[in-house]
Amino acid sequence: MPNPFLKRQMEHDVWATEQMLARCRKLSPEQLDLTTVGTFGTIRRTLGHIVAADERYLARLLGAWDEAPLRETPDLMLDEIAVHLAHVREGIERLFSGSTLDADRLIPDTPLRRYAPNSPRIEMYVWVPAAQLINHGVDHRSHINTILATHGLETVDLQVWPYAMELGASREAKDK
Amino acid sequence: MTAALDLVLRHNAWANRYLIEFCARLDAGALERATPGTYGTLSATLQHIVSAEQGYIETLGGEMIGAPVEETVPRPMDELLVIVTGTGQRAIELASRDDAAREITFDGRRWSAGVVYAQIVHHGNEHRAQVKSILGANGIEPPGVSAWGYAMDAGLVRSGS
Repeated sequence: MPNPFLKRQMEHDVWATEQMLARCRKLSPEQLDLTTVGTFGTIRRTLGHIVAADERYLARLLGAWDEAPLRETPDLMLDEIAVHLAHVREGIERLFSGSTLDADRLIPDTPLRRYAPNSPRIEMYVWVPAAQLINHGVDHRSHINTILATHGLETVDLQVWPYAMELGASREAKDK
Repeated sequence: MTAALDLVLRHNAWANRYLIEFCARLDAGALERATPGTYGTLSATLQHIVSAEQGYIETLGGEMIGAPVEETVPRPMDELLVIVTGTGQRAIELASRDDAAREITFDGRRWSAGVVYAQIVHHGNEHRAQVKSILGANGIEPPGVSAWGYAMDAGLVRSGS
């Protein structure tokens, strides 16, 4: 399989956002609008920002994005975020379904600039949005955990360890 | 062709160094600041990042880079910088010839090497985010350590016409 490490890393990223979304579904509307200093904003806004950004990174990597991207508004509903998170999961599958991803290929533009035609065209190599997708999700999920903990609410363990155990990619060693 | 994971690990190494260099310029009192909902003080969180990365590299490659960082024993920022530069470089070297499916034993469980590389990246990102939250909560503008920041620092992204 081409780029197995990177694919797994991105799959973990989606899994972690799904876990956070599931946690957020147990919060009240008032709790979803909690925040704390030093973070991005409210829980709701941060979760929407994670998924909207994922769509932007994948659109750039894939060179096409058929669905209208998630719009980052303060009153986003979790169901709407979930629909777009499913698009992100599908996008990752498409990204790794063909030949090996060439990290050094220059991407001249994003297809999503049609939604903001006055924005500048930014060129970047493939590895940049790929690395940013992973960094960005962890960064902002950490913000949500910080907000939850600050307000005495249960946080979520989103490390790779529980993900691996859920997949059966880790098991107790019988020998030494 | 460069493997994409290679550059994810390069970003991780760069971000650790960049953040520790930034924090090394703060006064000693600032390093003891914290904010609710994070791991601990700035100093403790940075030590945890470095200590964990030493452990991951030892698990993957069988060698400890630098003297083990004990999270309860404060270490100077310049020492942390040297160690994290070494662990970052070693992670890149190991991943370049490693097999994602290679089985290793860690904490009494069997894992694939790919899981540990993924955890290196996740763990660094998570705790760097907490360091930035502490900085922001204490009125200090945190440095940009995203992949965008790395790409711009390395001159690898530019505006087109």
